Amino acid sequence: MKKNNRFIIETKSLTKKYDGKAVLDNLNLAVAEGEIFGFLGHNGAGKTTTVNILTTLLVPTSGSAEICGFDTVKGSMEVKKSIGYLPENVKFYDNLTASENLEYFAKLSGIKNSKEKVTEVLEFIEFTGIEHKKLGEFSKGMRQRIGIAQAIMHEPKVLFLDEPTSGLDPMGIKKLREVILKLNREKRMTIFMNTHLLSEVAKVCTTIGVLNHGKLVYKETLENMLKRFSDEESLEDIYFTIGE
Amino acid sequence: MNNFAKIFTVAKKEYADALKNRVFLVFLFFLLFLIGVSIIVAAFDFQGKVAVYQNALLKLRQSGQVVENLSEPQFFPLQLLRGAIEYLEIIGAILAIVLGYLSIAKEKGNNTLQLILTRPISRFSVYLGKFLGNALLIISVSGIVFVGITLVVDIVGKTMLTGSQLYRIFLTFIFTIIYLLIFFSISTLLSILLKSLPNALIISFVIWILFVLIIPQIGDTMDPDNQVPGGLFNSLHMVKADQTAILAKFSHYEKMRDNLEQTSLTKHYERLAFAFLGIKDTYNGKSLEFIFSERAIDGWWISLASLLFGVFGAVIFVKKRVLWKEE
Amino acid sequence: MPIIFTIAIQEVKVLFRERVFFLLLAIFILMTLASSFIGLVATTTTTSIYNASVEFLHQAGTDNIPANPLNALPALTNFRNVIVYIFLIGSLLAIVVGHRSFIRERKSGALPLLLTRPILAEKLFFGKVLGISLALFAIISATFIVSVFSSLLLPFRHLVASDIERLFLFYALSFFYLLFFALVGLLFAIKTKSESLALFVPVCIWVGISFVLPELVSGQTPTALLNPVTMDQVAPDGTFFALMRTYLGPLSLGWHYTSFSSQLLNNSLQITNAGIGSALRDNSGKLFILLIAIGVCLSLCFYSIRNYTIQEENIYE
Repeated sequence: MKKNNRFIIETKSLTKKYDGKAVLDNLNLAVAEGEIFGFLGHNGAGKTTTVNILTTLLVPTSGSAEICGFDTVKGSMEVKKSIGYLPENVKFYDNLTASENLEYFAKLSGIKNSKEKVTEVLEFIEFTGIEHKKLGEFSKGMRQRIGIAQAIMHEPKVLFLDEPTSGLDPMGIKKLREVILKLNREKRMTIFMNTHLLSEVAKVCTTIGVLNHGKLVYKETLENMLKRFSDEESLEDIYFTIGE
Repeated sequence: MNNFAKIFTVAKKEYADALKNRVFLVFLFFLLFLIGVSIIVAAFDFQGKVAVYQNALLKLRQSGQVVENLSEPQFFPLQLLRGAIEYLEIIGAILAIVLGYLSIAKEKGNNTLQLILTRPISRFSVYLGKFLGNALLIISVSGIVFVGITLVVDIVGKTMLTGSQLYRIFLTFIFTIIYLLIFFSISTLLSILLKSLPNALIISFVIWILFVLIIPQIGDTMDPDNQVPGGLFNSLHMVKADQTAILAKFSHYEKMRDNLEQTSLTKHYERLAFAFLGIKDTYNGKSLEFIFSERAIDGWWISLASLLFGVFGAVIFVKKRVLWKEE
Repeated sequence: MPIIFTIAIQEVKVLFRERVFFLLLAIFILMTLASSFIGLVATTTTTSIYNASVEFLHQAGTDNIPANPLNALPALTNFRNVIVYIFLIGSLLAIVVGHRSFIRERKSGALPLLLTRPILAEKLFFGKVLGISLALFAIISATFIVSVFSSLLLPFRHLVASDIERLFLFYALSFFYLLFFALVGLLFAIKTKSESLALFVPVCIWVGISFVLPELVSGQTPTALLNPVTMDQVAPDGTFFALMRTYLGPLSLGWHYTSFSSQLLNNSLQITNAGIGSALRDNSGKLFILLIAIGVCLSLCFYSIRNYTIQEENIYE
């Protein structure tokens, strides 16, 4: 972990209980600016709950979380201004065209020249010529790219992606990966990515964290991790070793 | 398992599913409650009329006028069922729509339809199982309703219904089942046919509102004697025989109105039920032979429609290749 | 443009592109149009029947025949069926408008996006309510225009200035009536997990308000309540109905709407040709109750949206 960076995402003893059952249990997590953080864990480990708290959608039972130094509960409005979010399975409004969908969210994000911005962002993610098509005609992969466009239009400091590759074909996954790397490189965006796919993590992430039953069991840069587990055969084995 | 046992398994599951479903239970209790209320309201309404009559009688006697023109309101227990029949038409139909919708929606919603269709059972058997299960459910619901009705009428009317009256209630019960199956089949059909389930539901409601409320309402407001408060003929002080003579000249208009009403399947059911129960004065106290000779056509209409929509649903279910949601 | 308008315009835009909404709207407008025609056919026939009766009575030697009662009916009689259609179809349409407004966000997965934008929840909510109101306003205006134009085509009755004023008040009242149902639709779309339940419960409430409460208060069966001539008939005497009137009377919004509308459109059995002023005075309580009901729904909706927690969207269609 680079020492000179301040933490842009930080949680302190973050706990979320549903009906008395802890889904997140004293989670302490810190992500530095400029990182691509891969948040790993099996289904039901609490990844989406974490992202929901970090994006202000849920209020923690105890503990706290900060984005860019703002508390996600007390400073939720400031947090919202600093983040972009792509939830899993977002479909948008089928009856509106791609640009109508994007313009709406651009306005809600406080962007003034929404039309120009939409054109600009679609060019950035290299997805043009579809502006006037209705979303109803789009494939899952195409919707996902509109989702990315929506999430980065207002140039947030942190981008949250919840299982971004789920349901995409290999070509779609490749394109998404390119966009993520480009955003990190060119816009210095910090990216927080939920996933259970190790292959993805290895290709894009700079740091990984592993969540197991609501607890962070491991956090390390990819580089160090590969050093430590050099004798292991694959990332998958590493994951299982940590997960146990 | 042989084919019959499989059909029976599907039917049994439909029956059990519905009894566990909150939407269905909400509507069922709502229906039972409304029918109970409507009978009680009708009883109080009748009491009110008797009171008005006795008041008028008293006043006329005191002023020394002739009281022959005033006829005492007569009590016919089956006429208390007018509201009950209307609620069966309205809420009963919604209940049937709910059943049809759920029967398909629950499979589409969690993609179990693909599972069922890859089991060694024919599509027709699946449909038949679903139909039978829900038909049994409709029979049970109507059974509860009509047993309840009979008891309430006995209690409110303070008399035991005679055998012939019970038979008339039984006949109404049979045609109620047939009527409700129409709406069940319509909503099943639409849920199978349309890609979007919520749209299927809303369009079922549109059909419901047309048959149940709009067409009968138009027919009612087109009644010439309904144009003036209190009635046109009353304002002219004309007796019934003269009214009929005049109206005979306008039979084309009446025929048009009748034809319009006939496009509503609900109206057919209502005419039949009102005839059986003597709610419509023309049929009150008339023999069943007479009622059948006049109103059999209505029975045919709803039976035919019920059959047609049921068969149509089966054909679509068997023939439409992709029944589940496509990604 | 303020955010609140952006949201409101989006609401209207998306709604007017939904096919099912258009289907319902088309039926509604068509019925309003048809009601003029139905009225024309019915009154022409009734006049012919009257003439035939007069001839018949003359031959029978009766003198002193009353004038055609139809001619005594006010010009706004042409509109009395509109009350029924707003009461019947308009309110169902309004439920669908409110229902779709929130379900759409849930199903498209746009809800987490909306809630993570830097906008106050108040603005989001009132933007939506404004959008719903705009949509209802458009629907009401459409029926208003259709019914005024179609009544101009009817040869025998012409509207005067005070009639227009009455019509205006009637449509304003109708707007609030529809708004109430739209908010009920919205409320259950927020509160209920299952999409079908979110539609069925408001329909239940609709049946309750349109038919059940009026029946308890007036003793009228559902079909009689849909007949504009007898619509506001009062209940027969008796302790039962007196009790119902006292306790359930205030709650029966449907009854308030039809009876108030009947008086506004000069169609009432109770008071014939009451002035606008007195109609408003007599019915201010009903209007007040309707506004209270809207206020209650509005607060409940707002409260539920504030406390709405994103969860695994498990809509069992």
